Amino acid sequence: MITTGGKLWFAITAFAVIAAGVYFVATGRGDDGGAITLLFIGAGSALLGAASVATRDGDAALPGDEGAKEPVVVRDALPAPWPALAALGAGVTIVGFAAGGILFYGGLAIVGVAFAEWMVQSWAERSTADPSYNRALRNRIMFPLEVPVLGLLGVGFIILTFSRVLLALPDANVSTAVAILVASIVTALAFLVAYRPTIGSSALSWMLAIAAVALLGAGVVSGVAGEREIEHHGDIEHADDAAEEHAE
Amino acid sequence: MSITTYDPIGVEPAPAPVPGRRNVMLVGALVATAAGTVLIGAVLGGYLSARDIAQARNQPWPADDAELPNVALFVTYIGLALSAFFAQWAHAAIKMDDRRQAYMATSFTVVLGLLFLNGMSYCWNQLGQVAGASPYATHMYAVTVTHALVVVAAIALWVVVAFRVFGGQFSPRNSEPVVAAVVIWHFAVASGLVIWWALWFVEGGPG
Repeated sequence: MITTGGKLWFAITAFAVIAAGVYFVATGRGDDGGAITLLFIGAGSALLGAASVATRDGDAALPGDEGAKEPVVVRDALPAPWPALAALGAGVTIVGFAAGGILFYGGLAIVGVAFAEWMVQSWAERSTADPSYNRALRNRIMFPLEVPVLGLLGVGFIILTFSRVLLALPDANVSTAVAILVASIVTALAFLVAYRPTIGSSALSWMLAIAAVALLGAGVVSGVAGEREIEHHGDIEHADDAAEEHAE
Repeated sequence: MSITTYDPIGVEPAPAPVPGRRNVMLVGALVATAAGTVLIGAVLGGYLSARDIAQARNQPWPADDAELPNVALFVTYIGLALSAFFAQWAHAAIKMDDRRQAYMATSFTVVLGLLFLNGMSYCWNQLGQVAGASPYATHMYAVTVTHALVVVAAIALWVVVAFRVFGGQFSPRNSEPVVAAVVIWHFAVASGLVIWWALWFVEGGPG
């Protein structure tokens, strides 16, 4: 008997195969690529359908009782973005390998971090049946590494983006005023958060996320706009010397 | 003087771990295989589309300066096909509880995988194409390097399996990780044969 999961995947298979035929005919039998891609999607979903049928959608009958099912064991797992991060790192590495430059090393670093985090978390969440205990185990090992590294990255991000904004402003005095204004706003908000501890962590997260996106956007726009004309001390002295020579 | 144990978490004693679900590795391997199938299909579709466009414009495909090393390619891919039998042999040996055969089969599987990578490296060198220099070179490398990475991942999995076989961790009743590795290996072989047909046999034929 075909299970529910199997029916879903086999339906996708049938849809992909029919779509491949329709695509091939509709493009005047000129584009093999699209049809082949759809056929491979069909093959992948057929494989998943077969897996669903073979494993009976993960259900296991208890011995001696036809109707009874083994209770599904749900493991309390911590949030795990590491596979996605590792895939991102692999993509960045491949692009960096083709394009050259720092992207390649950045990609390798992302892959390394993802695997290290993944291994520690995988170990921690299998340690006991208590998720809070597992989380504490994981945090005890990783926080001493994560907090300083993330702090450094955060400071670097702020320096890089905000410096682009200050350098793009039309005048040095305006840059100074903006720097003081932003620092004052940050201090005031920090005071507010400290003074009102009832502010929830989600509200705080939203606030920080919005600020980070705004900073990133301003940094990108300013970076594209370019820096204002800045006179270097050497240039000023050179200009003074030239003026004196001209006066003589 | 009493001795107190150091308890950094403050929960004592810790509850026992929850037993895992069955067939997790096998289902994971099948999901990875399905994802890999779509990946190979996507890069192969890109290659075929680029070929169709080039042929519609009467441009050469493969590039004029590309001379396919058909014999080397055939030997390389037939070696990969042969490795599928060794992978299956490893599983059969585990099911028979024959450790010596399992050692040989896992080792030969890994060695044949490495020989495939060596063969591909030679073929790329013989082709003399540079990625980005022509649509043919770019798409050819996109397909073959993607497949080579799949083989590298399969080899890494088999190295882990081989170490566990040497450690005596598998038995006829506990062979699921070996089955999962066999599934991944068969996928790497099958996708390699499809690529050999689409990229090399159709373009140049055995010569």
